[in-house]
Amino acid sequence: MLAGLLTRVEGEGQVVLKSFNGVVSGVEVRVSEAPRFFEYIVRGRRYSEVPDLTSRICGLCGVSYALTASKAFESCLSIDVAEDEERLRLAMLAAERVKSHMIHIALLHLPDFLELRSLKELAESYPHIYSKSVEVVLWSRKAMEVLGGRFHNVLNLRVGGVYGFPETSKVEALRRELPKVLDNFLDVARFVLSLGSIPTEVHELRYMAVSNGTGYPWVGGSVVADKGSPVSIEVFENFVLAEQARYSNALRYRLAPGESYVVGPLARYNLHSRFLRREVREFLSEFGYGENLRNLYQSVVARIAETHQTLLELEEFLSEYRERSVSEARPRSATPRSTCAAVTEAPRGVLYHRYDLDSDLRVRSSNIITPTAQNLASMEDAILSKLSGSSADGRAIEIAKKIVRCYDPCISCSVHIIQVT
Amino acid sequence: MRKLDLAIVKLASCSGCLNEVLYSLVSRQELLKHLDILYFTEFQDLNDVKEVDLAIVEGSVATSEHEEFLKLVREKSRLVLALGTCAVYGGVQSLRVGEDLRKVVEASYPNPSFIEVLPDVKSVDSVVSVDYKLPGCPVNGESLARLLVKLALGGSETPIVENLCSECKRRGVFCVTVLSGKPCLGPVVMAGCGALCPSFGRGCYGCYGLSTLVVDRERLEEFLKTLEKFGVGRDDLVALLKAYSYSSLSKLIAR
Repeated sequence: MLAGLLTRVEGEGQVVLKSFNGVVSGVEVRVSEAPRFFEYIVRGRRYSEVPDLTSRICGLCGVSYALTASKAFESCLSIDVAEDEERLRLAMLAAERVKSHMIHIALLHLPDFLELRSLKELAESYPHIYSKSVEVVLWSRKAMEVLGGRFHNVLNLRVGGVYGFPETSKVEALRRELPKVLDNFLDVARFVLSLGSIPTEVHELRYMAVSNGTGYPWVGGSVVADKGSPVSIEVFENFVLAEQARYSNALRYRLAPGESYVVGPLARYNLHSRFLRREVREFLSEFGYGENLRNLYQSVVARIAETHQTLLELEEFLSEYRERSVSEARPRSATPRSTCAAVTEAPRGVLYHRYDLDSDLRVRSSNIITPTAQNLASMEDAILSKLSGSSADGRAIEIAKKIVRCYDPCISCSVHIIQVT
Repeated sequence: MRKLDLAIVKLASCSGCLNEVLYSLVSRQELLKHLDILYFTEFQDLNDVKEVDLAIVEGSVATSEHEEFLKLVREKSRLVLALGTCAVYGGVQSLRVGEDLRKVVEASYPNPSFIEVLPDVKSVDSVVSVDYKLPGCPVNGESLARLLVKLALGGSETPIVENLCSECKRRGVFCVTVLSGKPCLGPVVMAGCGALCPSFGRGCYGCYGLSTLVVDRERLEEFLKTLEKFGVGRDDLVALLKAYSYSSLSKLIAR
């Protein structure tokens, strides 16, 4: 047995290769991160307090967690969110995506294609790429601060909408900086997409993403797996099966026939690339990337496509922005439903929340299915299919770690998960 | 000039404060040149727990492995910084403390016997001695960057303890309680965020933690009674304080 600590990923985990006669015979991706029991700590809390708590599940994608929880409660209570408030919330989600993707593309994943080992080595060897990437990350931070209050655990998001609209002058300042940010981003993107070191082998994978039928999906009411029909989130928990392994603090999921599947940028891209803006598709085609990406390593291409798309969407939002006062969100129905679910595309993929409320509108139980937990089974399958039969040595561990990194795992989020009733 | 050797370690947490560490490292062009990062698994491949000048600890202590690791880190570090609300007070995961551990584990896992955690959630300073504390959920990256610059130049931190109200006053943010009758924890909570929630018209929910230096038990009791008049239940207020100030709250109110 050979173990390697997972590095350049969020959270604490290990990849373990099991061997027979010196040859790889099995793989375990172990999540050693300590559980924080979110399903328990939201119990008894009033619905309105829950988004702030679930935001704390993930340090990279708190907006996704807070928004998904809010949407679930809005569905329970039949609350219509004012259009401008919803647009502002989606802009926070977009800024978070730019932050999360850009950190992964340039600071966590790029070193793999350049045979570097750290942020500092990147800064020393490729100072221009490093500083342009940092400019984009710092702008995303500013955008998160203006729209949501801060870089992480935004405080301007509530069940029913937002707490306040940022001042026009601050939004205008963000907009003025955006063309420069887009230029910096495209320079980094050109550099990455021109690298000859992104593998072209074909991986056989199954994909799942949110589906709304009309656009590149960031939010929606159903999911789609491969070329199948959309599945309503009402039945999501029957669509995926949970397993718990003795060696891991996270549950893992398979599609009902027992197959592993991929969620995240690669899945979204391969299921929905036709919905990307023409500008984005044309930019990628200059580097030979079309409607489908071939393998996990090319997830970096999907992250680039999504960051590009998102910056363009943000440009539109910022130029059309108008400051206004918040509206009071009123439930349409006097009788709340006791169970409701919502799904969002977090940067790393499909994020599902379901809550059961008591008559006092406090959480009785919940189920939160995170992107990384859904990707765990696929990570093991992908590593095994790549390494099965190869000699179990340090090189194999390095390959396994590179495969895990393609999923941009968020290990802190994956720890906890599922309510058993 | 000799570089400042750093170890950046994570216990039970969400990595949100590590984002702020990343921000502090990249926000000043010269800073990285003055640092040698010897341990930071989130951002580099080569990691070694050896002697360092400063260990930055994110997260609270939730398992016996955390306790052992933290003691090792303390032995190897000249200075230890508890970073963020989890490290300083315990963090939102403290909401499970005092509950039946079996029920807690069962709520999240179909096979509870596979999971090993401590019954308590401990702040870093309840396990090892701590030289600096920067609370916040997440911590303010600017404060961290300024501290790193000072330490890299051979200086030290000058802590200023005040409550959040002072930040509203400095920023000219109108009091949300006085102006709009919204409950706000500002009077009993540590300053440091820049009065973010009130600047969006929302009351502070206390994520920088209850300060035992600005409030004592009697004043806290009086304050909670006053807040109840704004329609918030006492249990909900105590839950908020437990979520973001667990170790301070334990000192002030017997559980």
